[in-house]
Amino acid sequence: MINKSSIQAKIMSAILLTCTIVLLLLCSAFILFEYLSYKKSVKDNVSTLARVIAGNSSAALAFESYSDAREILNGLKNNPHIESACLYDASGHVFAVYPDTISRKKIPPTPQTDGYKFSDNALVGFEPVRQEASRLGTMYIRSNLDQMYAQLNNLLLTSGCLLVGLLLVTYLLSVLMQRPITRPIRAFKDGVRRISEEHDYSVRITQTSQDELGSLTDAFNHMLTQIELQNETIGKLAAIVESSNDPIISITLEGIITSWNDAAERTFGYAADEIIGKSVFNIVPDERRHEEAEILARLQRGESVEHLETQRLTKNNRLLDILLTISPVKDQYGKIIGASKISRDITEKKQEERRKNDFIAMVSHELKTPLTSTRSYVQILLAEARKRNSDAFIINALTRTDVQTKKMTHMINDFLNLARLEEGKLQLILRVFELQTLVEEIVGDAQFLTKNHKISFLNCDHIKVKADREKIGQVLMNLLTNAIKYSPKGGEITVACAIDNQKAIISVRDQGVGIKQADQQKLFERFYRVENNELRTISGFGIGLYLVAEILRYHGSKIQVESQEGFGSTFYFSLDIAQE
Amino acid sequence: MIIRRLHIILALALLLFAYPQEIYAQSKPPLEYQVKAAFLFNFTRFVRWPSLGGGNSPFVIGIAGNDPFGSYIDDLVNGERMGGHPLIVHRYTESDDMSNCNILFINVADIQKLKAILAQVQNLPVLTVSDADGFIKAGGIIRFYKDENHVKMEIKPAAARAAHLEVSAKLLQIARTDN
Repeated sequence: MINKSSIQAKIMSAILLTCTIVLLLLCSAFILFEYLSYKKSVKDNVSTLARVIAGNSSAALAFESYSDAREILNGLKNNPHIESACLYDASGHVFAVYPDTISRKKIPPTPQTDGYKFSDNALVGFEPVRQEASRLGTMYIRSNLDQMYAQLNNLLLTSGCLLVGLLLVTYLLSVLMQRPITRPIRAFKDGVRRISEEHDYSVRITQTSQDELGSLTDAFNHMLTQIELQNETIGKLAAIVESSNDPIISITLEGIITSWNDAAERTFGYAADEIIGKSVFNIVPDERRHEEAEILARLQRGESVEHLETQRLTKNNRLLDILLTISPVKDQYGKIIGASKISRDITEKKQEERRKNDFIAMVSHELKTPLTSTRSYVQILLAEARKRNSDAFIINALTRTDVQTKKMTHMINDFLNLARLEEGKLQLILRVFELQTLVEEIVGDAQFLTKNHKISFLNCDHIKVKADREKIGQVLMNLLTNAIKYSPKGGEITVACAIDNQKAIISVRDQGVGIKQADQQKLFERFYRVENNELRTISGFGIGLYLVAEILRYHGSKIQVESQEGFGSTFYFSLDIAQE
Repeated sequence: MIIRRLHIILALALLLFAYPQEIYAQSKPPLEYQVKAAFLFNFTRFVRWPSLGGGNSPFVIGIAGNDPFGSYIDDLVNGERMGGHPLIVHRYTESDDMSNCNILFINVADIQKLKAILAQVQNLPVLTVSDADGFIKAGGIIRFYKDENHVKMEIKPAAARAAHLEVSAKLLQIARTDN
């Protein structure tokens, strides 16, 4: 109850309680002291009275003057508090009693030890009666304490009145005294309430005292300044997030959305208030759920995810292509508490790419048809020329034309495959085939393209693999044309096969210019071309190695490279051996 | 008081009945004289004598004339002291010199003899006491008389002053005084 009441009430009750206790103790001590001194004074009073009466009655006792004894005792009438008295003679017999009417039963039959004591709300005493050093008898006296109690009652009443009066004064004083303490506290409280209700952090609390509360006010105002500054910073950051064209959202580690910017509202169709606090799975299409779960797992390990191409579902169930960057969010102690997700809507870009791919596919397809018939006619012409033993120039020209058309077919096939790949329409036709025959065929074709290089193969016999024969041929062809291209001074190119751990390892080694360490990683990206002055003249689209890597990826394999600048490169990959 | 007295009398009667009469008659005077004996003894506390002689000189309670107390009074004062002086009882004949006594109980019926005794101790510090009716008139200091069966006293302070005796006001208070 005390804890709930205001500081004002607490201070006042502290003052009042202290004063009450002090006053009560003081009054009690005073009353006790008065009681004891009353008792002493009653005893003194009664014993003096008894001594006088006893002294006066000595003759009456000595000379057995009963009437005198009575008269002397009757002198006690002036003292109404004396209830009874009596005189005993020397032998201890009752000689005279006071008052006359008192019953003998109320008088002790024999005198007791001299002295006074309090008993039964009365003071009882036995006083010796002496004359000239000889004892003549004893006097008994009994005094009630009515007077003392009356006085004590008066005292109690006075003390009570005084106490009430003093407490009233204390109360009034405490009302006055608590004011300088509570007024600034209440002003402070009002100020704080105004700030918390109106969220106006530019308000400052007026400092009214120089004490602890003054420094508290100072500190609080300082804190307000800091909050204002921080709010400004937060506001700027929030403005950046809000005005971003890319949806930026934050989630907890459980995938609950905690913030949602304007761009997110525009892109995904959900308003901030309807999605915050709900699961991020609301915008994840069913087929991407496993991906989101994996992302959450990676976040918990503190890893970030960059440039993930994925899909999201809007409120209207429209699928969006997005590019996602996810970074873990840490609290002030460095503990991961969630993640920020910046998405970029790449649906249009994707569509554009798709249109481009469709265009490439269409163009390639359209180019392929005339090229195929051109090549057939060239081959027919070449066969006819050889049959008729024609002029060597004609045969040579037709042979070159044939090789060039073949090369062109390969290039168009590459483009077609690229377009299919981009659309995700690349399909493998897995068959079991002899590696030896494919390698022989491709090496033969490649050797046609060059006179400076000697292309050989080894150890490929009796290896059967399960793969898409045509596409693996394309892989080998691309690796060989690449090797030819980057060995401008000629030299040997070797295709080698090996078996390692139930896999067929196929490698293509050249003695060309080699590849810088920095380039080795990016080598297999689409349209990537090594920047090198020496190689400026070398033609190519930069799609060859990308196709190699993608085709092998579809096979569950991976293209790898070992190279040293100036000493040539070795590309290798593995294929599954066909089970007999 | 009367009841108590009655008790005592009853007790005494029983004693008389129980013991051989001659033994009792020897030691105890009538109750009246027992009281008077006690009073004589008590005077030592309420009266001041100017001088009591030096050393161990005794304080003398004298009995002139017929002795009504017998040995009772001797037993009463036996071993008692007045200041430093031992109390003794001395019995005088009419011809004895009574000037050395301090309290003198005069028990003579003849007023002339009584006057002669008083004349003998006149102006001496002797407290004269008697039952006789004209005693105060004759110049005595304290006279016992009976009132409703109680022993009472009559005192003449002037006579006491003449005898250089200081009588306690308390004693005067309970006695009848004759000025």
